[in-house]
Amino acid sequence: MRRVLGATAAILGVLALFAGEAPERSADGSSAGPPPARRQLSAPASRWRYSRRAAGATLEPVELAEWIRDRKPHLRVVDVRSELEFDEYHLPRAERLTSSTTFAPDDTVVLVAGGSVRARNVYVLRGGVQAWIDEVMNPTIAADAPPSVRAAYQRASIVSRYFGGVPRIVDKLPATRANANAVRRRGC
Amino acid sequence: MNPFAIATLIGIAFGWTLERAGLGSAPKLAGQFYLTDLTVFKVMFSAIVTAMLGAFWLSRLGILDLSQVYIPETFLLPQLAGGLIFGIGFVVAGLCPGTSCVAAATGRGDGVMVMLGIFAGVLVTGLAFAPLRDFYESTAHGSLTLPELLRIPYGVVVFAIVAMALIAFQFAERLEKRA
Repeated sequence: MRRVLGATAAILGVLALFAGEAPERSADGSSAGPPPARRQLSAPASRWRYSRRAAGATLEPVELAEWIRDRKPHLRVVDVRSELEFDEYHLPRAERLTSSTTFAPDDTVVLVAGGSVRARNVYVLRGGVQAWIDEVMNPTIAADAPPSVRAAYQRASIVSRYFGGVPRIVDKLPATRANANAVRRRGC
Repeated sequence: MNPFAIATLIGIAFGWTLERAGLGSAPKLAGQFYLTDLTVFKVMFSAIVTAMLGAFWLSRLGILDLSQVYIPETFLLPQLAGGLIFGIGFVVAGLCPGTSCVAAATGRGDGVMVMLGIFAGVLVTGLAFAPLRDFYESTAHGSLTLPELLRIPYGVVVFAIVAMALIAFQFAERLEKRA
């Protein structure tokens, strides 16, 4: 019995050498067919590659999501909206900008929805909270999207799941504003 | 199916398997640390190999979507400290959390005491969490997997770990015979 189990493990292990990668899958669980692209979970070596961008530039929601998830050192996500809006919804680990908020020179400050702050690394989140909801919490992709869009979607869906979002592959992206809003409401 | 029902079934199966492997007995577990009885090592490593081969092949066959599987994050220093504390507790008690539940369920008094100790530890950590928090969240490295960390294909990692396990099992048997 022991020999049989050992031999089975050995055979499966050797076969794994030649098995290649798992096929890509769509959100409904069915196999989406080729191409079987490499699944990117995280890239430790190139983690803070965007740290040197010019201060004052906008920051992509997915990038911010990755920073929050990876606990980028000295990251401060500062929400400059009203207390009411903050309580209604805010980004994970976000703090509200108040009169007592201070910043250290080392801080990387990401402003959510406008404002100006004195610090070495200031970013303004492109599109504010709505972009976070759309692109991190509810990333969507058309089933027939080109590879470049697929790659971006892959990246977004990984952080999305981390934050409890719902990445989806749809037959057709919502065309009307009403549809888009209906899609957005899901998952938040 | 209700997730609690699934969890209960898996938990019972897990406990039953641990007991069948003899891991409800503290002397057997302590034998691991004196290298006289390597049951713990063999059970754990065969569980790792089984789960790894299962995850790899099920995902390769398109049955399991690995991107849906949660990968715990790495916090290097706090996890090293946690491992050390866990190890000390393991040697002192002769039981780890899972096996203490099994020991308690089969009516062993030491199992009940270890479980009480676990809950006491959880409570103390929770109460003292505020000052611990900075350390708890330090040296974060995100979710790491061996294929990405070592930059080698997943299949090669699977093969290497299976080979390592089979060699280690042989070595363990020899060690036990000598003891």
